[in-house]
Amino acid sequence: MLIHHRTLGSRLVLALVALVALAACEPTNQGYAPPQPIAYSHAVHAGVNQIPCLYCHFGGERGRYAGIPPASICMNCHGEVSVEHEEVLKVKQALDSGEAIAWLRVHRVPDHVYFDHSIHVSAALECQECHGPVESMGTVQQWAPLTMGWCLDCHRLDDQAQEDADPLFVGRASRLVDCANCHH
Amino acid sequence: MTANRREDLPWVDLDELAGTSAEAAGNSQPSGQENASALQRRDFLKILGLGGLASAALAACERLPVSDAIPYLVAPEDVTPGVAAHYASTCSACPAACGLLVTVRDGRPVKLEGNPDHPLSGGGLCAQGQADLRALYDAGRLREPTVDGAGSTWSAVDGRVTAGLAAARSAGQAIYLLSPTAVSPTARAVIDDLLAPLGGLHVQYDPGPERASARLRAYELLDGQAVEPALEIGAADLLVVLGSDLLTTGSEPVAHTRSYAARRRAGGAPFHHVQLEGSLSNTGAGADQRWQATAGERRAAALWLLNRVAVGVNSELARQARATLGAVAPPAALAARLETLGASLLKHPGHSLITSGSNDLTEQLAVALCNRLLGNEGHSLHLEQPSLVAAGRDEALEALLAAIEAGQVGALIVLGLDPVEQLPTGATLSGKLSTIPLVVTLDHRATATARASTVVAAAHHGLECWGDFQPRETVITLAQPAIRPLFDTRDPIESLLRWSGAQQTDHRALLMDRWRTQLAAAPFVGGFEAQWVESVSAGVLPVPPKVAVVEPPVVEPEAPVEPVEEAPEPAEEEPAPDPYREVLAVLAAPGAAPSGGDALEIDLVQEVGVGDGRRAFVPWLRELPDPLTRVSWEPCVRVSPARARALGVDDGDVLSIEAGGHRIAMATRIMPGQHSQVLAVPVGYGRSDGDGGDASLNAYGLASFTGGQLSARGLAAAVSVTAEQRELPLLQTHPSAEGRPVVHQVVHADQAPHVEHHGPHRSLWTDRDEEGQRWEMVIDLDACTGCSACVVACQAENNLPVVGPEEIAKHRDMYWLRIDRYFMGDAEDPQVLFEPMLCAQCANASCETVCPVAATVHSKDGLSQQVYNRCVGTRYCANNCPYKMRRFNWFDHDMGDPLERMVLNPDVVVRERGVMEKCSFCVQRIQAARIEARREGRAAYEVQTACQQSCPARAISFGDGSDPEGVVAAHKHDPRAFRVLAETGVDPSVTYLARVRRDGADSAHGDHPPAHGDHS
Repeated sequence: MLIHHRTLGSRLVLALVALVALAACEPTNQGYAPPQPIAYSHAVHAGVNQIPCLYCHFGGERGRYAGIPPASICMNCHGEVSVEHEEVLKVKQALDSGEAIAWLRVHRVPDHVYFDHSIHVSAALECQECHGPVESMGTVQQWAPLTMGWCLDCHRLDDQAQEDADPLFVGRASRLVDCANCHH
Repeated sequence: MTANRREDLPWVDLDELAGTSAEAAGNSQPSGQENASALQRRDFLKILGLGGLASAALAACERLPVSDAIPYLVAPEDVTPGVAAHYASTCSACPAACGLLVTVRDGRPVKLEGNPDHPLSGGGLCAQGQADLRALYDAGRLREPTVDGAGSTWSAVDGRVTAGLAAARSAGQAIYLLSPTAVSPTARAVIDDLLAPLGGLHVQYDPGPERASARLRAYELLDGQAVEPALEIGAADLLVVLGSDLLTTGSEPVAHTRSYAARRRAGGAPFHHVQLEGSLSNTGAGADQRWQATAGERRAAALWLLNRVAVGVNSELARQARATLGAVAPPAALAARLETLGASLLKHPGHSLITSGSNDLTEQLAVALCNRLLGNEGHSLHLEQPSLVAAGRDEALEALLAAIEAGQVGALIVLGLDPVEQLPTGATLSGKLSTIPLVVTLDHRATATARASTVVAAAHHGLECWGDFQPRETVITLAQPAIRPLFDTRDPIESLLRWSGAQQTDHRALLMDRWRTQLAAAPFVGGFEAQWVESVSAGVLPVPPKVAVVEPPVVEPEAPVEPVEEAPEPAEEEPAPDPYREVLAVLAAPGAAPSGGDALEIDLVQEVGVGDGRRAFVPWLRELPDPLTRVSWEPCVRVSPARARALGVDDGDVLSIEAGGHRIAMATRIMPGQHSQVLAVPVGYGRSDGDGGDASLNAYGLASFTGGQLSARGLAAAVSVTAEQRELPLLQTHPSAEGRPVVHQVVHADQAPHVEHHGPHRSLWTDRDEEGQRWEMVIDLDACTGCSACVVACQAENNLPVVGPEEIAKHRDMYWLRIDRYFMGDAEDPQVLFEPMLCAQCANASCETVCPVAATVHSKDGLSQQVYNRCVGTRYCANNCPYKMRRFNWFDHDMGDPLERMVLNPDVVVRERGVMEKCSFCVQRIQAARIEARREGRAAYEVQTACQQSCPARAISFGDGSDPEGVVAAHKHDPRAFRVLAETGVDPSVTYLARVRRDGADSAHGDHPPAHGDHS
């Protein structure tokens, strides 16, 4: 079966286009900052008021997902503070009506990646190392590319001194580069 | 090659044994795809490549699709999204009521495991139990109640049922409730409360062919109380099984396997298992000695053994037995072997166990008396603490069917059963049901019975219900709901409560009230409420044990074991009270003679997959290959090689079998080890709620009532060969082990298997770092019964697709774990070995070397990783795997509708078309355990793979092989250890321990060295 020359030509052109496209643009959501249904500001809460990240994102200590806090967590404070604030009222209304708040997900790794927050949090990594200066963000944006290469930038660090100091946690991280650590 | 076959080499196929397999093997290599398709495939790949580039160009700059992230408004206390919770519960798949741990992720159960704290099942869970999870999400579940075939409301249901019951009562008609054995004491009480004021009767029926009814009757005759003895196989040194598959399809397979395997493993007195059976069973496959015997021969053997034991034992009962029974001739073919067995039994008073799977009263009486004479009661079988999981009485069932036939029944309530398709008279019953004014079915399936019912009270699945279970008087376990009810269904107990007009209709509150009262005297620290919470969380309610009455063996063998002549029995020794006279008279009466000549008989059997047919709709179970026949999806009649030759049939030829006024047509499967006069026919197929309801596949009709008992073994039948042929979807198709000793058995536990050591090979691989962690597995073939629980557990854990019979027939099964079956020895009477095979995670993995895109690479902890996103599907790796344990996704497999997809494990990717996959040693569990340990600052952590967790026999050990103190290292130094195909230099991480098959009955008491078989 012969390939027609014209077909071959068009295929080469297509292939070139694809290669150029791949080189020019990395498939990442870096910088993604969708408007959220409630104008919540991390700059106010984490920055000005210095609420620890894990107070709201308690899932980060327990398991895979840091999670978006349930509305009841907001009311722990907002039952007393800024009760009449326009945005707080939206949370209160959601709670009263029982209608869930549909936040837009900012950070997302592909389905075939099994990333676990808790192991990174318990290894005493600062949240900012991956999420950037969230305490200064009005609207949260994806700060890091969250690509595999970016993960491996840390996991391939060969820091013998650190490993000697803390063989169980951080040091081991530099050796956790097996595919099945994240893909199974 | 086969001309000088070593006798101890395993064989797979009869041709191989006959020495004609070389050609067969050549021919049976899965043929390459049709030649014509080569060009097409090249074209296809080109287009694919082009398309891939084009789509990459388009997709490269796109964001991942926007998705919502909706948190709880108020988070439930014990739920963290993404973190699994485990709830203890009890399995309701069968009356055995094994302990469960339900893994719940984000509100939905995703895996069932055995509860290690359960006193009977001890952490194992059978294939049926594993698959019950899939039944929860099945698209065929009932979603609402129906009245007269139309969707209805619960108030209409309640109104109709209470009115119907009252009408039947006032009309003086009989009211019946038909259910499987009710293991729940609360359910029994609720049923009694409903029926007692109405004068109704509760009939229990467990459809499986191994029935306890005759045994219950036997003990009723003996002691006045119908009890099912609880077997404690672990307390026996000599186990004699007459035609029972008690380890895999009996009434308590998990508990029995656990106790059996533990006994085989234990040191001390050697354990010996003798099996007499006509149809090869998994239990028989594991026996040290397996004697083929027809149903008549087994009954004669039981009677002869009773005689022999009575002669050898010095007790009042023995004397009476001798006086009454008279001489009994042993079945000719077994005479010599029975003589040895009888002598062995007499040497193990109190430490033997005889059990029978027959539903023949004579045989059960003989067995019961044998055990009594030998002093086994209180040791290896318990009547004081009987088993409460098999209470079905066939006499009552027959009476119910007669009453229906006579039109005397005014109301019939069917709870969790499908009598229309699970009773021998089902075909006529279906028509008769319409004559009953009120037929109520409580079920979560639209069974044939439900469709013929007036009212269908759509029931919760067991995982949506509360419950209590009492398999022994002192063993009480609890079930708690693991998910909110998915549909507009109702807990069947709540339905019964409402119909009985009870005040308390809340099942949970009822359970608490009941046990608060029952255990009022129990000294619970912190009171009952605290104890209840703790018990629900543990799944087991602690009950102060009764003081166990354990007496020493009551009989001593007479010093010289000499047959005592019957004649000198003096008349004046006649004792005044003679409780056994009637029983012994039954035994002395001439029973049916052992079927002589060459007459064919039928054994109804149960497969580990489809079981009694109750869960035949679950695709996991339909696809599960039978461990003996290796046939998936299709039911088949097992025929011995000699009989197949005589009938002129081969695999797949359809046989027509007629018995009990019912005819079935099923494909033949030639089964070495089958008695030449016995055909084994599986029940559970041909159900409209399973495989389409082809009545010619439903074997329940072959059974018939004999003397009040529903007989399922040794049925006389007319067998004829039809012209029809069916393709059998086979799993183990390669007809030969190619002369390689891939599986081993030894004759005592300290013996090393005969492994050929090849000279030092020059390794193709550079030596790996031996220092680090290396996950390894050890599988004890001596414990494995082939029950296939591991196969289903793997399927559930790793999101394995079901491919269907057509794909299976094309060798495209997707199992990551399979159980190979090998034969050794004679074609008509072989020994059978099971060998679970999975990816061996070879240190020098030959699959990894050949992957052109590094999609399969080795990890630092010794795993051969498969990286789906890198895989381009060349399949070189599968070609190069010596164990054939790699699976290729020929399709995007259908994982069911959105409801059925809820069963998927969120920790494991669903693979797509064109990708290779294989066992990962449950790497997701390794990662989870590692993360948890690190989080808690522990260096050590344990991992259980899904197959290991489910194994009732605890045959699988898993751990870090580099740990010299670890469990794997300990097993690897076992003399029985061997690794399959280790001579190839791949350095597999799976080690097997050879099967121990002791020689001769006498080795049971260790006074004879093994006769032969030590090849080393």
